[in-house]
Amino acid sequence: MSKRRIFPLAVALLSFLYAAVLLAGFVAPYDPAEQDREYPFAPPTHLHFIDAQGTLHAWPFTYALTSSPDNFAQYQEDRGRVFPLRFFVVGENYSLLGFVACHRHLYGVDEPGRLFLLGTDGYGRDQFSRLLWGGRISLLAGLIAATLSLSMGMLVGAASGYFGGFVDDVLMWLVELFLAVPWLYLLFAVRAFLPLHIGPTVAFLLVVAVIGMVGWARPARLIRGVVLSARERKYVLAARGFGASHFYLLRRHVLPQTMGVFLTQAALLVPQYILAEVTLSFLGLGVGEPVPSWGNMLGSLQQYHILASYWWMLVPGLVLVPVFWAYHVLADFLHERVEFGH
Amino acid sequence: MAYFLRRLLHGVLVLIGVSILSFVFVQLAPGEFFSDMRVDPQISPQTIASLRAQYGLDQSLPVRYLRWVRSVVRGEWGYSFAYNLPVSQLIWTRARNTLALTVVAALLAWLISIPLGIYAAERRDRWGDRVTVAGSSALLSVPDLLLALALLRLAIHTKAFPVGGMISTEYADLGPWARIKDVAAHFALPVAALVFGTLPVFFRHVRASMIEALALPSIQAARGYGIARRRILFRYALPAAANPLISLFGLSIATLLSASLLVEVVMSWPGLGPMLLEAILARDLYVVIGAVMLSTVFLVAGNFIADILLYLSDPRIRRSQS
Amino acid sequence: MVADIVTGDGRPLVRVQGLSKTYVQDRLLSRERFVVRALERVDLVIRPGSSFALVGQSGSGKSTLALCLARLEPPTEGKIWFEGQDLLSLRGRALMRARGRIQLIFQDTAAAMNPRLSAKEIIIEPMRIQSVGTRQEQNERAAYMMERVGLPPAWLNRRPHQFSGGQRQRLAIARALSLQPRLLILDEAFMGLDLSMQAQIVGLLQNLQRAEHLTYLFISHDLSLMAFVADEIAIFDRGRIVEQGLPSELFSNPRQPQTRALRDAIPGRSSVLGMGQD
Repeated sequence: MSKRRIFPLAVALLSFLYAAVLLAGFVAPYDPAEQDREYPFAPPTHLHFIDAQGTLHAWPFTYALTSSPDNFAQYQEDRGRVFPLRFFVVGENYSLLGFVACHRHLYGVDEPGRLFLLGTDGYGRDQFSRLLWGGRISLLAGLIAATLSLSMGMLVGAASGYFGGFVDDVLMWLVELFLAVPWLYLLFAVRAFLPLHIGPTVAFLLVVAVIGMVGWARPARLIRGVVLSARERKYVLAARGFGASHFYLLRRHVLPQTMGVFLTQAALLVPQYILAEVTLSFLGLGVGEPVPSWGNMLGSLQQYHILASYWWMLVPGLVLVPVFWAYHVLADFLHERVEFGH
Repeated sequence: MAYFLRRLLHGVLVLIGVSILSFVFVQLAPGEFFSDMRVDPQISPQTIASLRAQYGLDQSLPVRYLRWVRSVVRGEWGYSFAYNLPVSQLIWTRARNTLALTVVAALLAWLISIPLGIYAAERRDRWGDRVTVAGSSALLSVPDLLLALALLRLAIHTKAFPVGGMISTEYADLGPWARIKDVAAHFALPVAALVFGTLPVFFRHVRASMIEALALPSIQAARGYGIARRRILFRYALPAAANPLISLFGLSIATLLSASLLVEVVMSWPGLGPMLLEAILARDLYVVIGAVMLSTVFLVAGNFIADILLYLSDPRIRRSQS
Repeated sequence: MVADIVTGDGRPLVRVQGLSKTYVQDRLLSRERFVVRALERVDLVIRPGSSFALVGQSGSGKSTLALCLARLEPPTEGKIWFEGQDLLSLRGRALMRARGRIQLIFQDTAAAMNPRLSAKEIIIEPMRIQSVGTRQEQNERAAYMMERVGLPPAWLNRRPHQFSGGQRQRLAIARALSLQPRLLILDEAFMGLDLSMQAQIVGLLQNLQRAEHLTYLFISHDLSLMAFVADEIAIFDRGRIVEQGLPSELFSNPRQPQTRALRDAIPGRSSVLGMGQD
C-alpha cells in the first residue's frame, strides 16, 4: 500500500477513535461504574441472526445469560427469550462532553437482557463501556502530556539555541542529565516522590504533569538544533540590519522553522505518553479505581488466572496496537514531508 | 588516551549531576518524604536514632546528600528502611539479574536485526524488503506491556515455558546442569518480550544505515570495479554503516533498560524493576535512589563503551581528537 | 592620497577612523587561542552621492567592514561617523533610524531572503520592522519598488527561488530601498551574474543613484568592474587599506604589489603576457 493512501487511513482511524472516546457517554451502553454482580467475567455476548427454532431474524439479537451456581463465571445462553438489538435506546443518564445532560445511548437491549460486547470484569462491569470511558483518560493523558513536554521543550530549545552562551551551557547540561536516566526509571522516580494515595482526578493531573515533565529533554535538544541553524541564516542577519528585535526574529524567521520537528515529535511522543499512563495505572501508580483507564483495566491481569482464562480482559492492551500504528504512520509522514522540505 | 579520560570524566560528572538532581527533587516534593516512610517496626529506637544521625535525615539537603555520598563510597549506598539492610546488599543481585537480561536481549536483538537489516537494504523495495518492513512496523505497534502479557498467556496455555520468576521452587534440589537449564527456561520469556519489543527499532536503523551506505559513491565505484557482492556488503558497506549503528547501540541501552523495567515487573523477573516498584510503594527512599542511580550507571557505561567502539572503528574521530 | 571629489556639501557621509576587528576563539581546556585580525586600523571617508569601492581578495576583511558599518558586528576598536553622528554609540530610536539609512545588500541573495516568504513580504519587511506606513501604504510602496527596479509587480506573489540570480539582485535592491536609505553597501553585488546581467544592474544602480541621491559603497574583488562604476577605490589586503585613489591613477601607477596583482588578474590586461594597455 502506498504511503499516500495509508496516511489518510491513519488520520481517519485516530479521528474515529478520539470521537468515539469523547462521546463515550453516548456510544457506551452502560455506565462504567455500574456493577452487575450476577455476571462477573462474562464473555463477550454473541449476536445471533437465527434463533433456537431456526427462524432467521432481520435484526441481530442476544440471549440472556444464566450462570451455573457451581461453576464460577461459566455461563449458558438461555435460548428462551430473544432480545433484539436496539439503537438510540434510553439508558443511564450521563453528561455529553461534560455539560449536556442526555440519556440516549447509541445501542442497547431491553432489560433484563445484557449486551456485553467485550464481556465483563470481576465486578460485572461492561468492558466495552469501560474501554470507551477509559480511553478518554488514556488517550487524553497522552495528548495533554505531549503538549506539556513539547511546550517546555520548545521554550528551552529556543532559548538555548537562540541566546547561546551561558544559558545554553546550563540548559544543555540539564538536558544531558535528564537523558542520562532511562526514561521509565525517571518516570517512576518522579512519581515516587509524590504522594501515593490520591483521588482519581488529582491522579490524572499528576500523571499528566509527571509524564510531561520527564519528556521535555529530547524535543528541547532537537528544537535547539533547528534554532541554531536558523539563527545563522543570512536572512536573519538581514532582518537584524533593518532593526528587528529578538522577539520579531524568533517569531517571524526562527520559530516557524521548528514546526516540522515539533509536529514529528508530537506524533512520536503522544503514543509513548499514552503507554506511560497505561503503565503507571497498570502498576497502581496512576489513575485508580473507580475511574477506568486502559491501564488499570489491564491491572487485573497481573493475576495469572485472570490472564489465562478471560481473554477479553486483554482488549485495552489490544486497542493500543492500532493507536500506535496510526501515530507511527503520522510520524513517518510528517518526518518526510514537513521536516525535509516544504 | 586523553579522549577516553575526558569521556570518563564527563560520565562521572553526569552521574554526580543526576544524584544531586534526585536529592533536590526529593526536597522539592510536596509533603515530607521522610515522615511518610514506613519504618519497619522491628527496628529498635536506638537503630532508628543512629540511622537518623548517620544519614542526617532531619538535617538540611546538602548534609543529607553528602552523607549519602559517603555511604556510597563506603559501599553501602544508603539504607533500606523496609528491609533493615544497607541498600547495596539488596541491589547487587537485582542489578546482576537486570544486566543479564538486558545484555542477552541486546545481543540477540542485534544478532537478528543486523542480517535482517542488511537483507532488507539489499533488496530494497522488492518483495523481501516490503515483507520485513511491514512485519517490523506491525511489531513496532505492539507495546511492550501487551507483548509481555500475551507471552505470559501463551506460556500458561502451552505450558512450554515457566511462567514468571527466575528459578523454580525446586531449584535448591537440582544439580548444576539442571540449574542452568532451569534458569535458562525462565530466561526465555522475558528475553523474548524484550527482543520482540526492540527488534523493530534496531531493524529499521540497520536497514536505513545500510541503504545510505550502499548509496555511497565509494560503493558504486567498488561495484563498477566488479568486486563481488558479498565482499562489498561486508567489507565496504557495513563498516561505512558502522558509525550510526554504534551510536544507536548507545541509545538502545536506554530503551532496553526502560523496557526491562516493565517486563521484569510483569514477569516477576527479580531485577531492578520490581525492586524499584516495591520501594516506591513502601516509600523506601534510598532504595529508589539507588535503583535509579544504578540504571543511570548502566546507561552511562553503555554510552562510554559506544564512544570507545566509535573511536576504534572510525578513523575520522581519531583524527579530530588528536 | 584621497582625491578631491566634492559633491554636494563638503562634509563626508561616512567617516571611519582607526577601525579594528579581531576575532578570538577560545577553546575551553585548551591552550590554543585562534586570533583573526579581520580589520586593522582602517581609515576611510565616503562623500555623499559618490560611489566608493573596496577591492581586495577573498578573506581580506572587506565584508567585515561592511558588517561593522551596518552595525551587525561590533568593532573591537575605532570610530564610525555617519551623517556627522557617532554611529557606534547610537541606541534605541536613533539606532533604528540610522539602520534605515544604511542598508546592506548581501553577497548571497538567495540566502539573504527567507524562502518561505513572498517577494512582497520580503520588500515590506523593513517597513514592518520599523513600523513605517499603514498596510495599504506598504503594499503600494512594494509595488512601486518592484517597478523601480524593473520587475513586474505581478511577481510580488512569487517566492525568491522563482527569481533568477539577476532578478533576485533587483529584488534585494528593492528591499534595501524600501526605507529610503542614504548609504547602500553592496557586497559582491555582481558575483555570479553574466556580463549582460551585470551591465543591467550597473545601469539600474546608476539610475537610482541619480534619482534617489544615493551613496554607494561597493565591495568586490573585480577591479575592472569597480573601475567602471566607482569614483574612488581603496585596495584592501589582510584587514588594511594598502592603497587608495582614483581608478585611473590606480591602473596607471599602482604603487603596491597587491594593487598590481589585482590589476593583473584582469583577463586581457596581463602585463606578463605583454598584452596590457600600459
